[in-house]
Amino acid sequence: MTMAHQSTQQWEAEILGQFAIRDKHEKAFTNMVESYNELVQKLTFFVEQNKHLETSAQSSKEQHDKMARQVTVLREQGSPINQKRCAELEAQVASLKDERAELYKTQGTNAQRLVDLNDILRNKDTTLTQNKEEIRRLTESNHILAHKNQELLDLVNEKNVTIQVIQDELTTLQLEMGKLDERQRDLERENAQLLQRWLKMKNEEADRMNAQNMFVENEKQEAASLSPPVQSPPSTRSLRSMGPDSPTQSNWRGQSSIFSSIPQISSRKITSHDSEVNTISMSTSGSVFATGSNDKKIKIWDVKTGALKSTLTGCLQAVMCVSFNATDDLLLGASNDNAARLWHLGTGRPRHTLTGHIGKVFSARFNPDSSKVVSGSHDRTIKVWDLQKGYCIRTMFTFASVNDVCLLDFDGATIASGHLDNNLRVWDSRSGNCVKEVTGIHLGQITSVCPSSDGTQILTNSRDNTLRILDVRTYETLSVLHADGYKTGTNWSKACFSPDGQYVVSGSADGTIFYWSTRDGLVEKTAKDQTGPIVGVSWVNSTVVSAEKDKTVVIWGTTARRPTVYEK
Amino acid sequence: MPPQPDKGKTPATASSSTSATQAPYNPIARVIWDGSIPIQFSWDKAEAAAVGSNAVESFFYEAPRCSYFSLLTTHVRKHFVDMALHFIGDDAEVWYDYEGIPLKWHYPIGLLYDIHGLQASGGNATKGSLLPWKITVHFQNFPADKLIKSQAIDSCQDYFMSMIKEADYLRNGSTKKVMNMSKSDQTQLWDGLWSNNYDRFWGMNHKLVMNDGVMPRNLPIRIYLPENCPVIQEPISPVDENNQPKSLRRILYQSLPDLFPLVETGPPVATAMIHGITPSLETSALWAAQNMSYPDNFLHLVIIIK
Repeated sequence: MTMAHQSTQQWEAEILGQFAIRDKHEKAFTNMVESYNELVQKLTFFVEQNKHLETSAQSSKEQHDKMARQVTVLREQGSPINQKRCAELEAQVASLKDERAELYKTQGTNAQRLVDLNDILRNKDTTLTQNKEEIRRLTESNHILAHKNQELLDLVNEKNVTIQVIQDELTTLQLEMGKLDERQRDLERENAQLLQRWLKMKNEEADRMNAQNMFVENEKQEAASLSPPVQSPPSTRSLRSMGPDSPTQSNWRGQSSIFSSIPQISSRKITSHDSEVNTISMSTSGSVFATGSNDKKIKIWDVKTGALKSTLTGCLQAVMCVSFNATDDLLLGASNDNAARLWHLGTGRPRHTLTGHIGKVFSARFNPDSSKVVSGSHDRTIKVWDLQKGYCIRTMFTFASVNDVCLLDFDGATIASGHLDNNLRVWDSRSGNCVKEVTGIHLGQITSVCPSSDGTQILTNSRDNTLRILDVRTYETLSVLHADGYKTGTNWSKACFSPDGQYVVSGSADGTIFYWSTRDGLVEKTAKDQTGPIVGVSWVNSTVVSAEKDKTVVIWGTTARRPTVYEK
Repeated sequence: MPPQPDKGKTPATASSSTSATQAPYNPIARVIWDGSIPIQFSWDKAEAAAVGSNAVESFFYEAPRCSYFSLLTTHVRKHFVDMALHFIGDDAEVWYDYEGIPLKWHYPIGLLYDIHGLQASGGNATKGSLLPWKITVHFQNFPADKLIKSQAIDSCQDYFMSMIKEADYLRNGSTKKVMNMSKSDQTQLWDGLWSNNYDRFWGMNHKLVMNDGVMPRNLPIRIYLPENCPVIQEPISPVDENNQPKSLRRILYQSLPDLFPLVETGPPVATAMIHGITPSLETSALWAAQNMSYPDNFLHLVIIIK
């Protein structure tokens, strides 16, 4: 390997030598080529420069030519004519410049005006859009209103037609009533004649009897003078038995026929409830009275002292009617919550809740032995409830909303009801049939019905501002009670008879209490201590209580009792 | 004036060269790399007359022996375009001839000079009488029958890389060594050659020619004979049957026994020229292949008949 290495070095040296020789030849021109390239570069640069200079020379020449031409022109213009023309032209130029300046100004003004007008136009556009919107909205509402108007017109037409029909009916009914009145007057006249004839006959009979008696007396005296005296016959008894009021007619209410003097002196005035009072009723014994109100409460008050005895709660809506039973241990309340409730007065605890009506219960009454309750409702039914069983035993469909019900006989088999449709109906509760429908007696809805203490008469109160007393057996009107200034205040205003049946009492819409005599049907007395519509009056013994809608209750008596006497 | 690579490419090559391994010191390779030939480019007179430029000066240029004409075309064309007004040449149409013979653009310039200049004159021009080498430049009528068309720089690079792969195949029986190089390493070879950067090129080429110390199967050698004889390229083993390294003479004898007898009986009939010199024929062929190859990894032997 050393040899190989040596030979390699030898080759290398030899080859390097040869390369040196080669390069001596081949690189002989290196300097020349470099110089050449430099020269070429310079040449290129000079050529470029020359080109540039030629260009600038060219432009200089052009400029020179131009100047020369200008000089020629200027020389030509140097002549006097040309100077003059030049001056003219200059003047013209000046004037044109002025004109142009003017035009620029005008243009400026116009531009400004254009801008202004554009602004105005934009504003107008905005306003227009708004107006269009407004018009659209108004048109829309106009359409709606026109539609509504059309509907209302239709409604009015319909109502007009209905009114026409009703008026026709009314006219017919009034005619019918007129005829009936006439007939009644004939009958009354006939009756009066008969009565007169009957009295005359009685008188004749009495005269005859007296003559006979005298004859007998004379005979006796003659005989006495002749023999011992004998017993006189009981002739006066027979006379009495022929009187108009038969003592055999038993009073089922157990009330004595005390002669009533009119309680017209306000002895107490009580603000009873927080809300409007709807009803008032005195107990059978006349020691307490109860009021029912919109505040869902029933309050029991003492008649003598006017003190609150208890408050009965449980109703969910306004109380429309309160009623005591015959023994004064139970109280019945009818309410707008579709139920009638029963409280025990001794404990003040509720005993029954009579639910089943599907409308407001406007009236509820006990039967005399407190075994049953009758209730009338705006759901157009009267229901009879058995208190032993605690459920409804009969439902009578009355075809009209019931404002008030009352019992007409002792066992509660006959019921009278006053209705929203102005009619009075009489029912047999055993069969559930309508015994009689009394029509044409009132022109407004009947707000109360009340039997007289002897059960032969029935008093109705109506929104036509009249009261009527009807005979229960014949259903004939015995008298019509009305007065100037008497107005029935509410749909549930209750009127009542005096305990002896000689008077009728009712309260007006202005708070005045009216007393009518049943004999002649004339106003006997009026009394006023209240201002709101009277919703009910109740008369037991010699005390009348009246409740006005506006929360106050007044106790009326026959003797004045000053408020200072109140024991508190 | 050194060859100026395209300005756009210079920064990229410069940045990648910093990472390249430093080339080992080798004076032979260095002197071969630095070899250059002065060339006088003259425009073909007929073509110059056709565009109206009668007297266009020649262009002198000192070209590296290892470079290719394709890499010079840009400079040459620019010169003539600058000189002759209203003339626009096209790089793709430029071709060169020497004494009427078109020069193959895919041969290194040094090899072309050795073949066309020195071989043709029988080796007598070593004194430099042929210099500067006079080359005629053509901008038209590309001789497609004699030269490979499209000698653009990209084609030249492809050709160069295929020569390297061929040499690798001869050495190892496969091109795995070249193909396994990264793209940047492959580019480094060509960029080093193009930018005339010795360290950059040899930093990479060293691994290829030394073959990692493995004895190559065959040596990449081409032998060029005068008179347009076909190029001789045969599988040449670097060692003989006794496992001794072959000398250049032995190899030449193997291919051309008439011109290169094993024992000289008289004055030599022919000599072999590499890079313009005639090394001793006793030189080891393996050493020569490793140290005196052209950048395309081939040992190009130009035979000169006395």
